Amino acid sequence: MENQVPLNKDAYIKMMKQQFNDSPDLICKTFESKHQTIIIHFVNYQVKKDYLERDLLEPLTTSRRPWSVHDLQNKIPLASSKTENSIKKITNDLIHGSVSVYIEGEPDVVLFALPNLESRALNRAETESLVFGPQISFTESLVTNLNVVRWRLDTDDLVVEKVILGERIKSEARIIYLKSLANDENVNTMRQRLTDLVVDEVEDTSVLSQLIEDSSSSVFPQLITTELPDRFCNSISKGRVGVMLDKSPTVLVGPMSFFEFFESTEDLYVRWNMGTFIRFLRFLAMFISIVLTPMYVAALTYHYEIIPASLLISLGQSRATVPFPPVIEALLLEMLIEFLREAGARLPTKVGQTMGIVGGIVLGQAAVKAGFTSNILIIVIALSALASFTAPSYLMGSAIRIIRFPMILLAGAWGLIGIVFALSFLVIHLLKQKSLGRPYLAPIYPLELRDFNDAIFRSTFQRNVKRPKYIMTKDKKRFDKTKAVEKNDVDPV
Amino acid sequence: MKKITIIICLSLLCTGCIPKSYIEKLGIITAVGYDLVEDSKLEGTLVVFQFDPTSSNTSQIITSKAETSKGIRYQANRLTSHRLVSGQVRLALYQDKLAEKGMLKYMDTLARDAKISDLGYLAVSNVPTSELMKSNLSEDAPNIGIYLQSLIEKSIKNQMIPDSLINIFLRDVHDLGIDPVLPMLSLNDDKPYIHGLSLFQDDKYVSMLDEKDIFHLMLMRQRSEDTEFQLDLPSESLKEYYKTENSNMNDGTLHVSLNDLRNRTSFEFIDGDFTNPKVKIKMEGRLMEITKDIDLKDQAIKALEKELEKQLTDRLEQLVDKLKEKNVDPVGFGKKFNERHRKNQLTEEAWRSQIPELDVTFDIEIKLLRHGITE
Repeated sequence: MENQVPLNKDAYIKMMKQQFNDSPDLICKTFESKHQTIIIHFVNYQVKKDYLERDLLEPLTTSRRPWSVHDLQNKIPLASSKTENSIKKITNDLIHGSVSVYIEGEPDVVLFALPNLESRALNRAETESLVFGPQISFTESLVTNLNVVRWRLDTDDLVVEKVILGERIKSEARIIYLKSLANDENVNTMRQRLTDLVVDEVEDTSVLSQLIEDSSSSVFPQLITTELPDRFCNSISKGRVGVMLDKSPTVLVGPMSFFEFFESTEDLYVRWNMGTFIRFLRFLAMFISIVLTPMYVAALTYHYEIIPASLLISLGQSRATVPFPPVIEALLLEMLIEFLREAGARLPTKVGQTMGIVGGIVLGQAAVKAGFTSNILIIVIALSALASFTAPSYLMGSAIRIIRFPMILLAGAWGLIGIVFALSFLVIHLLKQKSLGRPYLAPIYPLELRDFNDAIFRSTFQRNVKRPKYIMTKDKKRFDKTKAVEKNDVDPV
Repeated sequence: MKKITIIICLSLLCTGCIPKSYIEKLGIITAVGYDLVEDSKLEGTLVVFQFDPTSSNTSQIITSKAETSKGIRYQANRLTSHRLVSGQVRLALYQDKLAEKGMLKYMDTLARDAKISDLGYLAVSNVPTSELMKSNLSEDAPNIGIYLQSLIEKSIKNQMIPDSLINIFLRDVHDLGIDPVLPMLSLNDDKPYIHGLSLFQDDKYVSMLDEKDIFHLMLMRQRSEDTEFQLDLPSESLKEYYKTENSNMNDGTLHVSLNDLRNRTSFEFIDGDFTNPKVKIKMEGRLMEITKDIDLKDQAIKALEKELEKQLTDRLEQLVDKLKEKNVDPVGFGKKFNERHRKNQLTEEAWRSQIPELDVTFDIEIKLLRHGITE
C-alpha cells in the first residue's frame, strides 16, 4: 500500500519529503544509536521548540535502552500522543503542529501534539465598543474564544458540537447552545445547514453567515455576527444557537429578529428607562436615515405645497443658486459622504482623521459657497448619515445606507408616491424574510404584544417574565413573576 | 426576470409624465386679493414668493385682470419669468364690493383645487385689496401675505375674532340656519389692521359689525375661553360703594375690564317656537381693571355683578336688533333650533323670513371670582 508507513528508513524519509513537496520547513532529525534508528519530523514554525527539546529530545537521547512504540507513549511526559500508520494522516497532523517519531522497523509512528498557535491577546472591542459594560472581544483563536465562552456560561447544560467546514481548506467550527433551552428544530436547522455546506473554504463567520442565511440576496443580515462575548453569551442564554469558527474574530447567532439588530447589550446594563430611550432613538434614527433625504428630494421636486411656510424662504433661497435638480444634488452629496466614509475606513488612522476634517468641513462649506448644493441639504445629508451610524450592528447600518440610494432615485422619479412605494416594498420584503426559518419581523408579524417588552422596549427585568415566543424555547418562562418582585427585607421600612 | 425588466423600463417611461415643479422655478403665491373693477371684471393681486440667485428680495406683487380667478393666474403668468402656482395660498382677500355679489362664485377655485389647502384664511377688506397688499408696513414678516395671515391667525388664537378658515366659511354657507362671518380688514395710515367683522347673508356680504360687538357675537356663536372684554357702566351705578366722597376720580362713566375665564352658553326655545329663543349665559370672570375708586366688599361685588349682567344684556339685545335689521343670523339660531327640534325642522325660507321676528330673551349670570388686591 502506498499510504502505509514503510519499514525502511530511507523509504520513509523520501516519502515524507514527497508528501511535503520538498518543503524546506519540514525538519527531519535522525538519531542513530547502536540498536536502532529514530527519525523525528516536524514543521519548523508549527511546534513549540522549547517543549520539544526538553520533553522529547532529551529523554530520547539520554536513554540507553532501545525505544519501542509502547515506551514512547508511556515514558515521554507529553499529554497528547497517538500512533498512526497512514502517511496522509501523519502529514495532516504535522501541518497542525505535531511531532512524529518513527522507529525503523515499526509500522506505527507516534505523534505528539505540540502546536505553536499564533494568537493575539484578548483585546477591547473595536467595532462594537460599549461605553458601559464588559470590554473584551473575541480573538481569531477558536481555543481562546471557547475558553471565554466557557468562562461566561458556567454550566454543564452548554453543548458544544464540532463541525468541520470547507472541502479544500478546512476550518473547525462549533455549534453552541443550551441543551435545556434551545429549540431542537433551530439546532437541527443550524447543524444541517453547516454540514450540508459544500464550499472550498470558509474565510470568516461573516462569509459563513452569507452562505447559510435564509435569503442570501437580501440586503438585510439575518444572523447576527458579533465580536462581543457578552452579546454572544446573552443570546445563547436566551435560547439561541451560536456558531464559532476558527480563525474568525466574530461569532454567529440565530435566529434573530429585525429589531434585535438595533439592540445593544448596553441597553441591558443601563436602567430600563434609559435603555428604552436609547432603543427608540435608534429606531427613529433608522427611519430618519431612510426617509429624510428622499423627502427633501420629493418636496423640492414635486410637492412644494407640503413645505411649511416658514421654511419656504430659506429653502427657496438656498436652492435658487443650485444648477442641478434636487435628485442630482442629493445623490452628489450622498456620494460625497460615502466617499468620505470609505476613505476614512481605508486610510491609516492618522491620515484618516485629517481626511474627515478636509472632507466634512472644507468640502461642505465650499460646496455651499460655490452654489453647488443648498446648505439645508448639507444638514439633511449629515443628519441621515449620522443616524445610519447609530445601528449597533455594522451590517445593519450599511444595509440602511444602501437602501437610501434607490429611495432617493424613486423620490426623484415619482415624489412622495415613490417613497411610499419604496417603503411598502421594504415592508413586504421584511415580512417575507426568515431567520433560521423563524419570522424575521417578529413580534410585529406574527403579532405578539408580550414580546414587545423584550424586542422593542426594554422593560424592567422583573416584568420580563416570558421568553420571546418566536425563538420557541423549550422553557417558556424565565421565572415566577410574583417571586421576582418579592423582597424579603429583614427590616422593611 | 423578464417581467422585472419590463416593469423597470415602463416605470422609467412613466416618470416622464409627471410634471416637475422645482421650487426655484416657481412663483409661489401665498396670498391673493380680489377686487371688482369696471363692468364686473376681476382684478387680482397676487403676493408671490420667487427665488432668484442674485436678488435677496424674494417677495413680489403682481396685479392682473380677468373674468375668473384662474384667469387672473393665467394672465399674471405673462408678467413673470416664474411659473405661478397656488399650492401655498394661505389667505384670500375679497373687496367688500365683490363680496356683496356673493363669495361662492369667486371662491370656487379655492374650494375645488385640491392643491389649495382648506386651512387657508378668508377675509374681507373695505378698501381695494390691491391697496392693502401694496402696503409696505408688514413689520418683520417676509411679505404682506404672511403678515396678514399671521395677523388673522393670531387674532383667532387669542379668540378676538371667530374662525375664518375656508372650510369653516364653506360649512357655514352650506349649513341651514347659520350665516358665516369673516374678519374685515382695513388700512390705517397705510398699515393693515382688523377693523371689524363682516356679516354675510348666505355668501353675500351685507354689513359690518363693529369690533366692540365681536365679543358679544362670539359669546353666543362659539365656545370661548379666557377672553378679555370691557363694559361701560352708567356713572350713577355703584355710588354707595365709593371709598371717598367727592373725589373727581369718580366722575364720568365707569369702565370695567373683565377677563372671561369660563362661560357656558345654552339655548332654549320657549314652547318650541323659533321666534322666541332664550339664551342663558353663565360666566365666570376676573376683574382686571375698574376706573373708579370702589371699596370691593362682598356687597359691592354683588352689585357690580348685577350691573354688569344688566349692561351685557343691553349690549346683546342691541346686537340682536342689529342682526335682525340686516336679516342675518351669524349666531345660528336656526341651526340651534333644528338641532333641538328634530321633528319640527325649519326650512331655509322659513328661517330667513322669521329672523326679523326674533324675540330673544337673555338670562345672564356673571360671577366675579377674583378682583385682585391694590393696597
